[in-house]
Amino acid sequence: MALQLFKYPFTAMGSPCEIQLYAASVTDAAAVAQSIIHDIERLESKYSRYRPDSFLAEINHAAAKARKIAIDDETASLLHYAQTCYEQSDGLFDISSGVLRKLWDFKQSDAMRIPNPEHIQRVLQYVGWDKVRWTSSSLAFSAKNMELDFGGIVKEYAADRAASIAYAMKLKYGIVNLGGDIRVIGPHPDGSPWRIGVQDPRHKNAVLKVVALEHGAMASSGDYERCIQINGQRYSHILNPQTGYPVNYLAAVTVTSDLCVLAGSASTIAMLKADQGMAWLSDLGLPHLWVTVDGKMGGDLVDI
Amino acid sequence: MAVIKRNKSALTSLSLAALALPGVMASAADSDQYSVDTLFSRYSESHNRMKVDAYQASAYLPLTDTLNFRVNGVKDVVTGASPVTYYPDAGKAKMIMSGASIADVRDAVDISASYTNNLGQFGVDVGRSSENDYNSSFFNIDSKFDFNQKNTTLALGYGFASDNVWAIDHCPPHCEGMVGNEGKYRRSGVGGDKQNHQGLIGITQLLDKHSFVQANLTYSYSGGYLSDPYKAVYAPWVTEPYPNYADSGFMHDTRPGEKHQIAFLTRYVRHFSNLNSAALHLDYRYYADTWNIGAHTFELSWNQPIVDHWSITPKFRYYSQNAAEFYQPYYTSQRTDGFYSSDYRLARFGSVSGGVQIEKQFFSKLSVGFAIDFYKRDYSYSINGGAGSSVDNFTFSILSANINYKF
Repeated sequence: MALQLFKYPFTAMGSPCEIQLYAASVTDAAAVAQSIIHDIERLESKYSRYRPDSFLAEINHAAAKARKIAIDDETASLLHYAQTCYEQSDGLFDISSGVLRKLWDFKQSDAMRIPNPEHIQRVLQYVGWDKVRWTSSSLAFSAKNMELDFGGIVKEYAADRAASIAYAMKLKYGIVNLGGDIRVIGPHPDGSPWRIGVQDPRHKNAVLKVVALEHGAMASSGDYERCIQINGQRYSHILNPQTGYPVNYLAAVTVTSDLCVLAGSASTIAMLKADQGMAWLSDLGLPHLWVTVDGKMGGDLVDI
Repeated sequence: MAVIKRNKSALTSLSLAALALPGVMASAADSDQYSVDTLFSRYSESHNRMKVDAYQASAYLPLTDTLNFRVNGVKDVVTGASPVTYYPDAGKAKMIMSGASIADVRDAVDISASYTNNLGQFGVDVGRSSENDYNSSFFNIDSKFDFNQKNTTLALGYGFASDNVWAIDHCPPHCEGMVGNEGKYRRSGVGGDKQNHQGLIGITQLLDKHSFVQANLTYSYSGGYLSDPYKAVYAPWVTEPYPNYADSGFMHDTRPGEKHQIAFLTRYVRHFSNLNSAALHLDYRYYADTWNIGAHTFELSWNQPIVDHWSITPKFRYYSQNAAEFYQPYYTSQRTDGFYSSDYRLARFGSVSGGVQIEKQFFSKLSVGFAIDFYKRDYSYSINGGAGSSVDNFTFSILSANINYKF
């Protein structure tokens, strides 16, 4: 049983991704990688906000016109997850907040144009999970011009599903990295953990901390590169759905958990919680690491 | 304190909602799943010769991470007729088929266990197969060891089989010399025990992350009654009547009492990630034995995954062998070594076969496959030498369906 490491780099969901698998043969590894990539592509084509033929585009077409749309079980369970995040974050984690991105252009960090406050207020009318009604089979919008975005959930969900697909195909050792959202399938065959670097939000190629994971997941929210400066103040690219402004306290948060989707939403909620984020994380009880926009670092992963 | 309490419930709420997402709740402990396989296949030869319906079921039982068991059962139902012997007719061989149609059932069961640790993988397989004219008990042990940072795998195996073979006649029509009641009886003067020992040494070398080569050397020794109790040879100097044919001029298939066989397989497998993870298999096998049979087999297959967990595998195979030293379609004079066989499997012949397998996987749990294979044997296809006859040209097809379910 010569287990050999096979690596499959690819691009999906707008991010560089890589699957690393230990398998007895290239054929075994390829079959698993192929199934995982198929599933990721399926989720991307279903929930991409950039594809006009995606199911999310259909949802947003209904949202734009405040109509009702039939949904499948998978979408319903993602909505249920989104609702739970909304409740647990006191309304800060809101999958209808994506429409605010139209106001903020994070690509131009040098000459950031601050949106007109009136403009922000107008767009905020189209934001709000409380304006969305859903059941296990349908989704309805009580306001026009709304938009949903599963961006903060689907990539992490795909990483967790990737591990399940590998297990179902009897593959036990490997790791899935979807643009920094990491799910460990299992340790190296000798039982040793994967050593995963948490990127320093201030230095692209520097590693802040190496986290050893034998199983479970690690996800991060925020990064320094996508921070913007407005009047000397650093803002992250995470938008607060209540104020319409980017959050300006934490630059990046990394959380580890058994599930990538949980690590991902916990790190995003912490970012949205701003100066309350660190306390929220330590109360949540998942291992974590945070860096503030002015460079302070903390969290229990730092001390490991 | 209120904050802490709420956040403890935050973790619970988020975890429960996350676990409710489809396909998220699975763990490595599920990785070795109980699974069952069933297979049905129908083999049918041209000219209404043999037909074999095979039913197979197996269960895979992973006991722990390192130890697993497999139980496998097979039932073959054989009907039809097969060549018994040949005689010369205007310089050409004419075939005599078994008169009464064959109707036999083979039942086989085997149990295997496999254990993996840091040193390698070790397996043992024990089984038994029985028919109304053939019993076989066998065991195999095999092991695999990794070297060279797991780039190289060495496989070692040994197998032993102890068989007992005889011929069954039915009365009527063949009641000559029968002892006991009407019905089945065991033909006298033929049959016996045989043993087979087989050793294997194999090496698999990864070339890069897309390909590997494999080489296996197999040596087998068979000793005992290696003839076919149902087959006869045309031997015009024989004056005693041949059982069931009453004609003189025939004698029992008589082969040497031992055979050494060697086979060398080389295999190349390459995976093409840019062609949707397609895989190419190329095999070449050389076989030789002390009955002077030499054979070449070339095999090529291409596994092409297509959309939605469908995959299609076309295959092509070419085989060529030369005749056994003592083989003749019929004999006109006595041999000094006393060995005679007109069994078409010992003749010079070649064959081409091809087929395609289609498989579909559902929800990583269930996979269903269908395959069709065609085979054509022809005396003239052989690139090797020796005696043979176009009277033994025939074709067969195999249709099969399999279902695998993982729990």
